Amino acid sequence: MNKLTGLILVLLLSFGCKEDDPTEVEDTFDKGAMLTNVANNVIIPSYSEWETNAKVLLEAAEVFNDKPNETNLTSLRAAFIEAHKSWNGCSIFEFGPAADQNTRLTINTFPTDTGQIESNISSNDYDLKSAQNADAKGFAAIDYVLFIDDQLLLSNPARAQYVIENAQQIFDRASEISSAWAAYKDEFASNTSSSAGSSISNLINELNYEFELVKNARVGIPLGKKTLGVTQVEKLEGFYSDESTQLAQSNIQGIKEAFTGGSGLGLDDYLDDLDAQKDGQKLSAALITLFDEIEEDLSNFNLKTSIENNPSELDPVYNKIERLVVLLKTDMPSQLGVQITYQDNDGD
Amino acid sequence: MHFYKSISLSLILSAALITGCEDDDPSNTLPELIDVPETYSFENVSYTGQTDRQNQMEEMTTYVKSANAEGVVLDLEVLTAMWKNTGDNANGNFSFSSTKQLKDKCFAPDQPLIESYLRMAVNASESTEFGSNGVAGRITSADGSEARLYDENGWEPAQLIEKTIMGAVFYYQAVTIYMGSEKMDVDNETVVPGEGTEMQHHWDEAYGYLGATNDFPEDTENVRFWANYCNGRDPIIESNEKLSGALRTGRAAIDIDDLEIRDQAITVAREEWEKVVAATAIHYLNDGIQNLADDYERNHDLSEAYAFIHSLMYNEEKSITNAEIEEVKALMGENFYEVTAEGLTAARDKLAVIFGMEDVKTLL
Repeated sequence: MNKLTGLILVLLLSFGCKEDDPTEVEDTFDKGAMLTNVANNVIIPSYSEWETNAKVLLEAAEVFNDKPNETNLTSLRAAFIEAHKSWNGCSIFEFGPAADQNTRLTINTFPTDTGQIESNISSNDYDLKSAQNADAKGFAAIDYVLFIDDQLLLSNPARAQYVIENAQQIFDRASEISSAWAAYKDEFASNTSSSAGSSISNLINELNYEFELVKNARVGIPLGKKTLGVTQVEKLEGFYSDESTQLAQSNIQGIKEAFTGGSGLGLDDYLDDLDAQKDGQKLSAALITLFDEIEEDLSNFNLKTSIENNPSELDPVYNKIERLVVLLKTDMPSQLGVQITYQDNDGD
Repeated sequence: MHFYKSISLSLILSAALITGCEDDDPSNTLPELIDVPETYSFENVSYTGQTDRQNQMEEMTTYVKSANAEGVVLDLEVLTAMWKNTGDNANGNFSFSSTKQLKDKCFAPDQPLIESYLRMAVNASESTEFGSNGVAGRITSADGSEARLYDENGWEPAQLIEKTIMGAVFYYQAVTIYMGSEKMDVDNETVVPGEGTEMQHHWDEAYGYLGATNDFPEDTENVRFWANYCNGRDPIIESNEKLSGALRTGRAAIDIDDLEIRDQAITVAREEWEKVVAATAIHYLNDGIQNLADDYERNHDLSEAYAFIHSLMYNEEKSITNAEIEEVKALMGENFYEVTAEGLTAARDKLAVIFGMEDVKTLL
């Protein structure tokens, strides 16, 4: 109770800044240069890598479909993991071209509806764009089909075809977004205000949205944090391939890169320019330390094994994730005069 | 016109201390008194989503109970559509349209359990035999005026569906979700007309799951679901004032932005609501013991008891462990035709010890 009260107080203190319409921060920091760097050295290369890996995945699926054997299956699975990890590295950039297409929901809704997938495969008559397949497509669907049953996959061409259809959709999306960014880049870099809908606001909002997906969807929900400690391991991203840990790490790396701007100018430099402090140290350093510790801590575990056998061993890293959410969602936006505009849309 | 009275916080404070809340010398930091109205008469109270879900639950229960009549076979598609509120009106099976649904607010790990009860109802309704040990079917009351549908172990799907959803949706959403940090660490400044601040609204939504009007506890006529059971136990454990008082204190504290009192109200509300669940479970175990030889009554009582015992798990600050819940269920036994007075009494007594109700356990 004490801890909770403390947290509430911390949040409330920060809300004071957040809820009063934040005014633009007066500063001399070159935000245009920061956005240009983030676009050129983080976003565009991330999308490009995703597009490349999505193409490799599609080709590997076609090769497997032609010759369904163990060797081609191994290559296909490896290509899938790489494509999935590279998507998780750029999933955070859900604004501009990616937002136009609702990309997160379209290609990476998890957990997947395995009953719907099986019914699609057996009818062999489905439209992945239809509403009833909203939970039966994308990376999670491929994860299921590729890893649930080797013999079925090797013997039933409709299953390989399901992988191809989904890989095609992912690749199409990757190339559309990649090419759209060439045109969108200037608009992104020149919009240097911090009001709602600006590039900085978009970046910070999506950074938070994505990191809350780490906290909830990728770790907290499977770990039982929303269900009174009752674990739900089957809700893990990458449950069937057992790649959940690596996928979460790629995602966290992507979020961190979005924050730091890689080796160039990023939000960390912006915070430093404003001399933003947290508990006697630079806020940027506090953020980066937590990012690194979380990634490092995760590498000591396999999420699926831990949740199945000893979920409480993940509590320390989950607590760090919660602490990082507070820094990202209250400290950083209030320092930069940005408002968090997304809300839980879980309704009343 | 609103009549306000001052409620001492000593009750709240002592309860907070009992549950291990170790605030630093609260007497120094807290006001002793806070104005709390005698009913839920606050500005901008709205909880239409909760009312919609309770209306859905009523219509779903009516449908399940329609199979108490001989020859009525339930349709799993209809039940599933009601559970998910498919097409905003359960594919035409609800009398009203709403965007709300029961399933998506249900404690996720227990969605399969509730779906298994839906199938239990359908399967039992298909039986053309009389219900008896090992045989699903209808059993008629001793005077022959009524019948209820049971599965082969004497489980009554109508009770298991309704009471488990009361636990896994209404109780869970109120005490764990809405009173949890994610719904409480929110804005308390910007007033939306008709809904109040985000924090006020979340609190009102928790209140909405009680199933009372805003005039409760003065109005004890219009009570359903939890408020009905709260009122049922009120003569023995004074639950009406204790539970609704905690809910009113929380809202009053939010209105003056006093979050320490709000947090204490959360602890007390969780505890008092939990006592209603536990006392109701004890009540039905007593009924089961009393009706031991009557299949029609005993199976019904124990189905109620089982679902209330199970519902104890959904509270974030519960006083019972999941293992103890399973022990109590095990003391009851899984086949309601083969239960013994000793087993049911042991289950009741274990609950009474855990919830400090030993002095009233035979009265409930």
